[in-house]
Amino acid sequence: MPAEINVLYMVQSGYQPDAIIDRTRQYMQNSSNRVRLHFVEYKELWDHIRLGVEENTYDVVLADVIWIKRLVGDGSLMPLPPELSRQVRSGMVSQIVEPFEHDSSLYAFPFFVDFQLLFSNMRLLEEAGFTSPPGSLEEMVSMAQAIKDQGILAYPVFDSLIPAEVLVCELIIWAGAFGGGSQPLGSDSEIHVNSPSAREALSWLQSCFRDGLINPYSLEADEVFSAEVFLAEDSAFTTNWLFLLGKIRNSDKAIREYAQATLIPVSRMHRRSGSDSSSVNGIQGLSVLSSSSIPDESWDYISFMSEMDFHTQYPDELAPWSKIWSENPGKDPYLELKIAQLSGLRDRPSHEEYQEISIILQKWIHTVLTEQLAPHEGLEKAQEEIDQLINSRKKDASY
Amino acid sequence: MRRIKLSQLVLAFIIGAIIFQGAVSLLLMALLLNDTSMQYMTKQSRRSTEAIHAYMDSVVEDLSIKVVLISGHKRIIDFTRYRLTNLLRNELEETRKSLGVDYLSVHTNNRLIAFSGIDSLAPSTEISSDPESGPSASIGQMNGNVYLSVQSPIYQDSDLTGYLTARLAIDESLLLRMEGIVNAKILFASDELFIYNSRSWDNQVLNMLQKDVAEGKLKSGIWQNRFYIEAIPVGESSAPAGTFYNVIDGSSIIDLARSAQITMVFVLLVTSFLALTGGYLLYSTSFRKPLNTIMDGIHEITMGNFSHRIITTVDNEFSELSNAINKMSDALVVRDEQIGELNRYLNLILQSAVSGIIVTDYEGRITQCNSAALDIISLTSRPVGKLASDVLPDQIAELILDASLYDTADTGHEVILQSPRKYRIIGVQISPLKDDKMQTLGLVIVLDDRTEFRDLQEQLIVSERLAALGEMASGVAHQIRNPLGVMKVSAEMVQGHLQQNTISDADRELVSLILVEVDTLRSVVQRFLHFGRPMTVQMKKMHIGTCISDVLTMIPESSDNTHPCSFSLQIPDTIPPVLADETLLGQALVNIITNSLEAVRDRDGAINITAEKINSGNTVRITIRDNGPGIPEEIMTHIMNPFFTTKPRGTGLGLSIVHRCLEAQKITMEIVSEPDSGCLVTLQLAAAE
Repeated sequence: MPAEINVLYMVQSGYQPDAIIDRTRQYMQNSSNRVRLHFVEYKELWDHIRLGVEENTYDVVLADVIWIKRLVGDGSLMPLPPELSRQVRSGMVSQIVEPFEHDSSLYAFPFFVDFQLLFSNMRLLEEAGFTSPPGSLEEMVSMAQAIKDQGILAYPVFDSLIPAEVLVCELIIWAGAFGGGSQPLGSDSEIHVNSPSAREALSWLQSCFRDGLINPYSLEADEVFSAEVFLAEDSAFTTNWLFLLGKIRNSDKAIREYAQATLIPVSRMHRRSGSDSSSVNGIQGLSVLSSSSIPDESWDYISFMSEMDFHTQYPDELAPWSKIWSENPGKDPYLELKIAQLSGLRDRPSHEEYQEISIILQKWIHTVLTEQLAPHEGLEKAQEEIDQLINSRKKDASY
Repeated sequence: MRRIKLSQLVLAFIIGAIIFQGAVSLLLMALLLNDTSMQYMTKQSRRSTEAIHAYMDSVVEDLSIKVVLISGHKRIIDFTRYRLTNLLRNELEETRKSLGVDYLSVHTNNRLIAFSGIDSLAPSTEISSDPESGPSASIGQMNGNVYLSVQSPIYQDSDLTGYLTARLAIDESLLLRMEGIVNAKILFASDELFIYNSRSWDNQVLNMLQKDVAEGKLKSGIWQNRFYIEAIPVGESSAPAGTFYNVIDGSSIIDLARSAQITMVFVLLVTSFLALTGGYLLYSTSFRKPLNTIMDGIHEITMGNFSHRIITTVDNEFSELSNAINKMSDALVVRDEQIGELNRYLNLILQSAVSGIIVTDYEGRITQCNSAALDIISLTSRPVGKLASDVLPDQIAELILDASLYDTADTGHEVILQSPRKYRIIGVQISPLKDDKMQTLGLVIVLDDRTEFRDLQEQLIVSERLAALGEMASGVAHQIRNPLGVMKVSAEMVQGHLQQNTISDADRELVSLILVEVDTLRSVVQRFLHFGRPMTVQMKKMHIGTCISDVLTMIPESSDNTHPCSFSLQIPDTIPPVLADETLLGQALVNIITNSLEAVRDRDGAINITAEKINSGNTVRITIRDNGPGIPEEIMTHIMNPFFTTKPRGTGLGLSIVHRCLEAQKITMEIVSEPDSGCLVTLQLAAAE
């Protein structure tokens, strides 16, 4: 009897819904199963997953790596079948697979590997007298200053610093750039947001705002708008997810010629190697909710969707399959960059309470960036609240 | 001057009234149409002008609303504030296109940071608004363009971030939209621009209007060619940025007016024709025809046909008039009959009068003349209506003139009318003709032919004279005859003696001469005796033709017949017999014809004898005409006297004997002589039947 698979997917970034719809249509042509797709924005995705868990609404969900620990802890996710786990472990690098492992089991099929890159407008840089993208934060600042000073742009840098998940991602990136480790804000065991690298990152951002290098509008901009600003050549530098590569490629404007993506540079003071960079891990995977009554069909659908030819067809994000990297059938010019950036990925704290922690962080980071508090004050406030949260949850758990 | 009939006047009045009414109507309608057309065009133009104003106001308002909306748009505000100029430009571009604005720009600190639209509309600096005020609109020129500009401040919260300027070029597309709304053809002209909707205009007209604009001829409220122009300056009144010309094509209204005028003329002509026809028919049937009928009737009545009846087919005043005329005609018939009767009676009197009666009017023109008058004065045609002085003999005319001068009756004149053949003695009595008021109306001339009377009078005198002469002659003859007889016997005896004796021839001839002369004397004495002897008359019925034939046989031919005389007789068989004494009539005729023969003795004579019946057959007239020398006028009155003769051996008793013979038979004789033409002797005998 054909099953109906309800799939929850996000709409605003990553693969376009059309691609998912096309692929799903192919699936349904080759299978007796029916698939019903549900698209929501990323910021609503978590709530829908929670709702799906509670109300048995979805079978397959797109899960951000930061939610895995929580969902696994809740028993909301179903581990990958052994065969699929084997395929994943054998076909993908550990940096992609490990975030989805829990107790030696995989709880999501890595679907797209996403992280941020530095995007530079070479026309503006050349206009300001530069011939190559910045290799360090300091260099980026001096270039931005030159652009500003020459009146080329009022605000050379634009980033998405809106109080949303992306703001935490930005802090992760810049904290990584200022010496933060693979988990600049702490790990599962210990959340430590008031780190030196985080304080330095915020200080650096504050100074950039004060110097007029970063556009104040960044505080209200999400990744999509930030990408739009860059595409409009209203910024010389921006950091953004890999989808911007696709937007640049598909743009009919001059930015297609002038945009250049590079590794996000780190501060010279904290650079450990010439290729040292910092980015945030934005990998997402397809999981089957435990509440699904058709897990086999769901895994079957996930397996079809994750086949190599599909990833080859849409090369903006880094395909999870290592085989694609070596063969590069899609002739992706940024493949090496993406692989290189993969090594510089920083993770957000993989805490069960990450969602609440992220909200606390967003609030205080934004408070700091709007100069209401000094970086350390803001981070202290954030840390206090996070601690209170964790402690209260622990208390709740002990009860 | 030719008299104009009333009917002609009425007809002329009807035609004139209709034509006048038509002309006035046409003129008024033309004026009304022209005025209406002008009012329509003016109203249309005013409406269009108001619509243009309203449209421009709405454009300004619409642009202001758009500017306010755009300047309040978050992305515009944010992009402006955060200098995302490319995004701002993109946003302006999209907004401009979606809102249909020609130009959008954002300024901050007097610096243009982004714009979209026509480059030529981009100003270098354009901060003119008061930040506290709302959007401000203006019309200006730049780079040859004329535009409508609305500027609005861009606020973020209460901070002035910049200025948004929207401009709408006054171009063909604006005119196109405007024309679509105001339903008029619109031109826009400025110093450098001449904008028009190329689809609306004919090139020739456009060139003309463009030339007029360039020459400043295109004023407000004027007709230019077939276009009604209304000029609407825009911008500052002191220095307008340009002028909209509301050009209303009056062709349709002109054509319509012309068509209406043609229709009106046609309708007017038709109605005038119908009115004329109807009027004429009405006039003809109700006026002219009955009037003509009445006029004809009156004419007929005037001509004396009083029995004529006027019958009109209408029932109006004419019928009443005709009835009145008919009644009058009836009265006239009676009166005419009376007058006719009276006239006939008077005419009978007049015509029956033996005397000639002529009546003249005050001017001397003859109004009446009876037949006796015609006979007396020998007029062949009726003289009525003519002046008496023209037609009457001079002697009578002079008497009439005298009478008219003195206005008195003149009863004692007698005039002699002499003609070559005869003369007449006319008694003339003239009396003034007066009316009841004794006003002189003319004259009444009474003529009496007294010729016969005078002739009879003279004949009586002759007769008496002849009788006395006859008695004397008879006495003398008796006294002479006896001695003559003695003398004759004696002479015969002498002659006998002489024949027996020798005597000279001369003596013998003298004796013979005595005897001849004695015979002559005896013959004369015999005639005297015969002349003086009383005549015995034996009247009997006799045929005049036979009598004349017998007389001609008794006429001896002349011995010296060198000039033969021809006789011609014209005596119809229808001549009635007459009562006469055959012997006396024959003797008279012999004498008369003998006189005629003697008169033509020296020429080729021709004697014409006629007989005819006259006076309704009661009288037979015999004429003897010769072609002799005629009787000299000076002896005419003596020819009847006894012993008057012009012949060497005549006794002078011929015509006296003829006179006695005829007188004895009551036969009248008239002798008319025409010198060198001969004599005409006329006898009138009483017919026997």
